[in-house]
Amino acid sequence: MAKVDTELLKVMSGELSTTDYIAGQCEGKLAHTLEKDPDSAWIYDLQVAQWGQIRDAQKNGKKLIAFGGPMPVDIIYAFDCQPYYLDQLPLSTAPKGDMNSKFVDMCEAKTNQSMCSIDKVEMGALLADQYGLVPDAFVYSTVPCDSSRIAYPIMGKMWGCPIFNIDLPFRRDARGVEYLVQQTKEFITFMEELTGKKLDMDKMRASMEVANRTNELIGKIADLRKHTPCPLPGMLLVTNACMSGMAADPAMIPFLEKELEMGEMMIAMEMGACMNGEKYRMLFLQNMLWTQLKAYSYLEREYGAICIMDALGHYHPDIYEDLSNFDDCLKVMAVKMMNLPMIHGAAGPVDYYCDRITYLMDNFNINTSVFLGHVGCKHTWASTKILSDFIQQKYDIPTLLIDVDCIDGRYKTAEEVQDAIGEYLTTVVKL
Amino acid sequence: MNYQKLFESNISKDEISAWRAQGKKALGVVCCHVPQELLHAAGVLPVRLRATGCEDYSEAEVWMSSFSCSFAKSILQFLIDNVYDLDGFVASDGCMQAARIYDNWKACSKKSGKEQTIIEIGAPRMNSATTRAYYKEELKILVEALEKLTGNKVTDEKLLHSVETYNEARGLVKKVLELQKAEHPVITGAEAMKIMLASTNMPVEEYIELLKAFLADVPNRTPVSGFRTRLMVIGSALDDPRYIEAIENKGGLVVADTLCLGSMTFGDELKADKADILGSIADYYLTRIVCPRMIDNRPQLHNLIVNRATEYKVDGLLYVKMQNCECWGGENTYLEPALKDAGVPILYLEREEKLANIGQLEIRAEAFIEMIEKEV
Repeated sequence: MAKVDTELLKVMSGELSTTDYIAGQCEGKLAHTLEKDPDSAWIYDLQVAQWGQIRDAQKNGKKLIAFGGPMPVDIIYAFDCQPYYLDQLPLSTAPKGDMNSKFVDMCEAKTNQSMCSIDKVEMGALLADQYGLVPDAFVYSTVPCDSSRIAYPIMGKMWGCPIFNIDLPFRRDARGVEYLVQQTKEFITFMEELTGKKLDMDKMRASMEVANRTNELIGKIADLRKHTPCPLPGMLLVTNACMSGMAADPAMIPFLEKELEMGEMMIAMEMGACMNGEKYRMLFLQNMLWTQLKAYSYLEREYGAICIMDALGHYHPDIYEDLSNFDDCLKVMAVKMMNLPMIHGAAGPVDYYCDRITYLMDNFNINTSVFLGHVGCKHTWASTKILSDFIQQKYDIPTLLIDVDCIDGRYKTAEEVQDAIGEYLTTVVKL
Repeated sequence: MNYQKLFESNISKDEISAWRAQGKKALGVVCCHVPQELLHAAGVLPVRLRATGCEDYSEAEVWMSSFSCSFAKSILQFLIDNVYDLDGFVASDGCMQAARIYDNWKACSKKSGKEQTIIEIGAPRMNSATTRAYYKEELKILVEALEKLTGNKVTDEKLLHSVETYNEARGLVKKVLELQKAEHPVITGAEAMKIMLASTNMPVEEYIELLKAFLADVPNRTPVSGFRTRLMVIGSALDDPRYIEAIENKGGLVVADTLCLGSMTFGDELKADKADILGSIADYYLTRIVCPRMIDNRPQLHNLIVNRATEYKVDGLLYVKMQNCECWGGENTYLEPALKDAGVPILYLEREEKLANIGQLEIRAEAFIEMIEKEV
């Protein structure tokens, strides 16, 4: 008989907040892993740190800064504040179908069925009053998409906390960088007013040093994926999403070091993540299938098909070259915002999306292309023919287009997705 | 002067072809965040792109998928079908679907060997001194591109003249819209929509003359009677007067709107600072309220809608959202209580660009009209 998740039932009935639930779950998993398989505990260490810090920030006298889209998060750390990247909520709860469904349904009752379910969960949890906290400020940018630009102002009004916005430019050029630098300076002023203290440059440098280290590590981990066979399972690509909120969090460093170590060890042992041999090196052109992560293991096991990278999730490492030159660092911060996962491909002209795909195709030995398209991401769906034609012409590789909901598992089961990809691999892809 | 042309809402390339036959350029305009004054000052005919009457956008759907907004797809379809006879278009990243018209037509026209002048300007999605300055620079880039295309220099004098010309059109349209405040207006909602859509199809000077002729004839027009309720329409891009006619046929007279192809296109007068005309244009276009694409204009947008509903004494409001339009997907959360406080009931409708399910629309509209009629 299946074990009943009584804590989940409490979330469903509204007794328990999402934050307490997720943080508690992570702590429970860590305790269990420490007992049964201590070598794997590093996977949960990060999650415990991530959610524990969010849950306990205000109790520990830290201001909690909720944020969405590309923001200069390293600055939030420098002010001794705790960032809460809101996308972490739907991404963490996606495998918990019932919980996500509850929040999706609550949001749809108030807004719009076609809205991206990432935003639906974020807004639904607020409509249900189940964050269990009210941030001290909510800061968000005008992208990634139309959905977030609708959801965030509503959420900001509901929370009633101070708000700060950044507008991401349409083009990624020098003028765009200057535009973001100016807005970042305005953000620093906002944070100074919010916290009542000036930006401490020593803390700023410390924050950037951590960010440099994590960026360096995530770059090396990505490099491991260029290796054939790929040493790291597709499922571990979830790490990229953590970087959006935690690049300057010291808790990221041991996690990434361990992941790197594991990958290097696999290569040294001449082993790959596909236990029965690697055949298909897949590039997913959009996001991770957060609801059905088990599909990644299934495809690796049954077809030797491994997701080498997801194009919108790809984390582009950017390093602060001269920490003593803050003006220069502000420019790097601007580039980081433009290069953030999803933003780099999905926002702005489609040429940037093609550039990202070119980089991944040229460097990761890809032989299979799949547009695993989240239905809520309409503007990326509106570029599918451009992208698939581009890949066909440049690399002579066809692209499978398959619609999924990355967050709401009711849309399509793992089995449906696996079968569709499996059939494509065996009938269309010629290697 | 015969002003019947104001009521011809179907898209015709004749006017554009005639313009181009004089050796002048005509450019489409995607979204209302492209200041048409700039094109006008460069001697270019700006043609605000719409897709009225597009009943089959299957080819565009191949490019943009079934998950996209059908208004955007229909515009792409009309570009593919050469419904407009243009030299190209200028787009802004109004919403992300509008931005994809740019990407897809660029790729599609290249593939079919019909490459055109396609210009994209970035229109910030928030309003501050920093974003307005950035937008002004974008407009400078547009001016340079237009000068290169036409060989015409865009001077401050020309810009000021264009601003004044468009202000005249704004003022005249305002007078047309004022007519709808009357207990028995002399135009229906569908007619008002046709008048506003007509602006997209002809040079602004001609439009002004037609508006003047129409307004001069107002005393001779017969007031509309026999309607049961006064309605207002808000929501996504709506450019099909037949949609409004279907509602009006059931007794609901549409007397006001906040549509981007309707009254919001025109807005208030643009007050130009002669020392910085381009800056004034940038300020105007980022500050004026049009749609929820901006991240920071919701309270103003909601106030505008509620005030307009009150000002035009509407009995009910139709919130018409295009399927897959995210921008208009969430406004009800705060707008609904605000309208409720003002005593304005709402009917939510979802539509596609092609006029599908018109029977269902009529039934729902009629039921709504019956419901609010009792409350009048």
